[in-house]
Amino acid sequence: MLIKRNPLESSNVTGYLFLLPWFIGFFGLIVGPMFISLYLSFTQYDLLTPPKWIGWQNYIDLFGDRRYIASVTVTLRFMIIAVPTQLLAALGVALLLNKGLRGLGIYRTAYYIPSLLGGSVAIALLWRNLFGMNGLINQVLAIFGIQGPGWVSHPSYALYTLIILATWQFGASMVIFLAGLKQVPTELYEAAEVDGANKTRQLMSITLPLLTPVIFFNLVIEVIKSVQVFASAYIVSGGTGGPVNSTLFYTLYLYQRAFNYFDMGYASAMAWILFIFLATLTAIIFWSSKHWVYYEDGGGRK
Amino acid sequence: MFKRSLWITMLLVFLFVLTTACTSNTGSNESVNDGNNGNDDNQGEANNSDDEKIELRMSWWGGQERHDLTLQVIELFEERHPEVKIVAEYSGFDGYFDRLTTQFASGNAPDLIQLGGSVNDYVDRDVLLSLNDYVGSELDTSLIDESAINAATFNGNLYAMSLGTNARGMLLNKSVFDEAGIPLPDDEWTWEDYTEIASQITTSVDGVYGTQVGSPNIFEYFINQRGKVLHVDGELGFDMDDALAWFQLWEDIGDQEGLVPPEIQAAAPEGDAGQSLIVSRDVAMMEIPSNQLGSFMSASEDEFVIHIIPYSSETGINGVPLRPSQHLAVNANTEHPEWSVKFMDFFVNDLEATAILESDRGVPVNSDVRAMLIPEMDEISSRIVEYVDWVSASSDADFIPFFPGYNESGDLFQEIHESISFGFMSVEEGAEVFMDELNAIMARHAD
Amino acid sequence: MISSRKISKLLTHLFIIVVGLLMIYPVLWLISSSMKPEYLIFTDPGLWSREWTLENYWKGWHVTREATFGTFFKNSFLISTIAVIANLVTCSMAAYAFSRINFAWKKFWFACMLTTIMLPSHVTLIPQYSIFHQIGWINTIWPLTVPKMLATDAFFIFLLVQFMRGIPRELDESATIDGCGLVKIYFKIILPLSMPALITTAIFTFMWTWDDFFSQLLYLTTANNFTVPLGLRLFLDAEGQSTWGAVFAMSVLSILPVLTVFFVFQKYIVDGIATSGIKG
Repeated sequence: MLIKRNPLESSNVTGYLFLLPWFIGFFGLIVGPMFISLYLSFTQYDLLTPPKWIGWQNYIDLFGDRRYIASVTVTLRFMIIAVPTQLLAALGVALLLNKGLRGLGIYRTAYYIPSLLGGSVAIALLWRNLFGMNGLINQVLAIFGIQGPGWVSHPSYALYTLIILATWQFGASMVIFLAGLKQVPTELYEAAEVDGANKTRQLMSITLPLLTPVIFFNLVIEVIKSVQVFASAYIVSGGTGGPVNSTLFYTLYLYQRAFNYFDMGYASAMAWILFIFLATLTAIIFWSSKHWVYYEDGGGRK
Repeated sequence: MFKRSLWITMLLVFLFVLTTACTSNTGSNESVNDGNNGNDDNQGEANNSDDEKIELRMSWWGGQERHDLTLQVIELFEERHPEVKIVAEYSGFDGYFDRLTTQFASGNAPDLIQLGGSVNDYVDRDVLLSLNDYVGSELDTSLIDESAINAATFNGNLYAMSLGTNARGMLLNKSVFDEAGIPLPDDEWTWEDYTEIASQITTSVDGVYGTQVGSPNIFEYFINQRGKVLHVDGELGFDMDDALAWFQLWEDIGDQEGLVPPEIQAAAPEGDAGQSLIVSRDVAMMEIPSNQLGSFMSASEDEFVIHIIPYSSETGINGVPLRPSQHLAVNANTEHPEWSVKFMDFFVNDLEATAILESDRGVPVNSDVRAMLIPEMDEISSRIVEYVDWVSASSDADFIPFFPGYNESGDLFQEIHESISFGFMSVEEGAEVFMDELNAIMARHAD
Repeated sequence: MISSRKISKLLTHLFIIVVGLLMIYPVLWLISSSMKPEYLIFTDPGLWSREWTLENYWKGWHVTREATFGTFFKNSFLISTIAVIANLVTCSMAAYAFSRINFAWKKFWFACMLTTIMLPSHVTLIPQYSIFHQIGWINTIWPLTVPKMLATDAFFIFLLVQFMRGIPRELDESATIDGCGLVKIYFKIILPLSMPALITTAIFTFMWTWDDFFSQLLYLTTANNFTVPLGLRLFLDAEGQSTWGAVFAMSVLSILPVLTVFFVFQKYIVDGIATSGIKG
């Protein structure tokens, strides 16, 4: 607290009032199911018959599970590559589309289309049409005399194709960056122009520093999303995580265990390990944010 | 300026929502009440006529045509029995079983449930009603094929009604065969013939491969052909040698260039006719269930023929049993078991109802119904019946359901095949991992 | 000088257009597929077809005996719009509390809020379903909308918090001096200045609710309550007959509203609300 102010001193009541809907939702709909799943992670539970307490057995079994280990590797690899590429693509395009060109609305919409189609059922066919052995991409490559692989159906390429797809669907982060750019006061740029700072200089000393809260947000969210990535792998592999587990993402395997294999206890154990991993990682990012995130409301503290 | 038009837009949207909310209120209220009627079981003391109705919920998955036909049958039943209302809960295949397990877990599963190959996963966990007490009263099984009854009987209890008879067969792209000048195979062809034809097609037709790696169904027939079964009493019914022979068979076909490259096969989702490799002309032979013949034919201009699965040259066994396409089962916790079973009986035995359903879910299991329908069938349906008759005549194996843990063992099967064909495992390693993990799955589901 | 600037502008345009076409290809392909007869969809996957038809649209629209896609569109609109309004109201309230008000245990509750997006939803789904089943809300729109009214979308709270923290404190202070209370500051200063973030929230809530398949499948069980994503799947039976032509046709119709919403609202994010006076 920098300055003590009257309304802020007695704001406990107001603060909790503003949070009231969230409290009701949190305690009414979220906490209960979370604790139930924590309990279930110590049981054998097939969804159709009552759960049986088995202690730490699920957690122990995980470490001897070939497919579990495969899913961890696949997910980490995805996270490490996809998060930075997607953030850079989204930021780059947002800067490009921010202002100064005519008809940008159309472009922005066009660039958002991939993210928009991500949830469409027809998308699986499109992937095949684009990335299949005889798909559009390989047809283009064939003009240059290159025989392309099955981009989504070869174990050595499938994960990387999914990373490209994830990057291609940068629309959501792009929109958030655009909104962030909007918050940068134009007066600052005007002042910089007067001082004779060039565009690069403006970018480095005005735009990026003021954008750090939004970059920080996108980083946290992309990390969480990339570890929980589900839909694209489910669509591309038809829910199997194949070929040969190359797209077996953590949550895809978790889903298979929970619903296809009638093993909700095991899936819950998986979920809680993921939870602890993500909570730790997020805590580290939050801690680091003190050093690089700049808030208009005074410093990088909460 | 911008600000004002934004607020106007938001206001308009809000007004739109208000109006739709008001107009649709009646609709959603109705459904809320419907939901409560089923749970409260207070039909006796209710006042208005709608409340007195017995309500059954029925869930199924399917495509547009199945929804249409099934709804017509439901309407017919409600016309005959005005005291009953059947709430139709239908969807596509995607997510159907996820919702069903969620409903079971929360004690909210429908009364009548369409099930598929995983029926024994539900039987094992005692969530389905045993129909034994109703046979002969609400449920007439006198005209139902024995194979259909057997397929739904577990430990002496009948748990479901088969909704149609299917037989798996080898779909041949006759157009490709003709272009290559290769004659269609004999009625009693063997795996050796199959291998040879597959490599002939690959070498003689540009861009088309012979066939793709066999499904778990063919594996089942392959085991039957060796005089064994997939599983008995919760244990595997075959051993390492059988698994080795199976994986070696496909390795050999691949060595003779009869197989489509694994990266092409891995791109084709299982089951969907439109996306299958035979429609895209990547392969000329693949195994399908007989009731899907029509889907394949409508997705392509090529001519298709359904042919029996190759025989074993050593034992001379074919091993293909007739099998149920889908099942209709009753929730063990239903409040209206008699009416549920009555509807089930209506669904498979009533001549008017089955005339509507025709062979959408496979060839009807009631012999009278078949006799009535066959003369009036369209060309595709008659070809399906013809094929099912062929399998029925040559059948030398009993249907048993796939391994307990239907999805888990199916995923394992596919993973091992891919591991071998992409070169991550040798045939021996693959067979070993397959047997080990299959045993583990069996043990886990036996608990 | 001027001409080189023109050239660079032209090049930027060219680059944006080329990449843009790459992005738009899926839509063109979707439209083209929706007008092909069933047997050409898979055998002739290119953009140009030998034969065009509108039958898929007619067939798709009349999806079942019980309902047409009109019903599904209406239901989807209803649910998505309630979700948008609910998220705007409750998430911005929560975000305001977290970003601008000092109260006891704030950090703790903020951490709790953030952790709710870290547990995969698959394992909390069944207990949540049971809660709504107990209340008797299955097959109503409430399980899909009430959570939004209770600010359970932590994603948006966090988003709004980040934006609200970017608003200078001096504004609150001067408002306080003018005699504004916390509630008045929320309405007069924070909300107007968070417009880009609020519009982002609105767009995403609309789209994600519009596209959400699984929870709608779980909670809406009869045709009169079905939404567009459920309707699209009604054509698809992985073990039987699928009519992909109808799926494509209805997919084209189903992305129109989201495209429109995006196109209309995106400009308010970028050049809409004047932010002058932010330093006021």
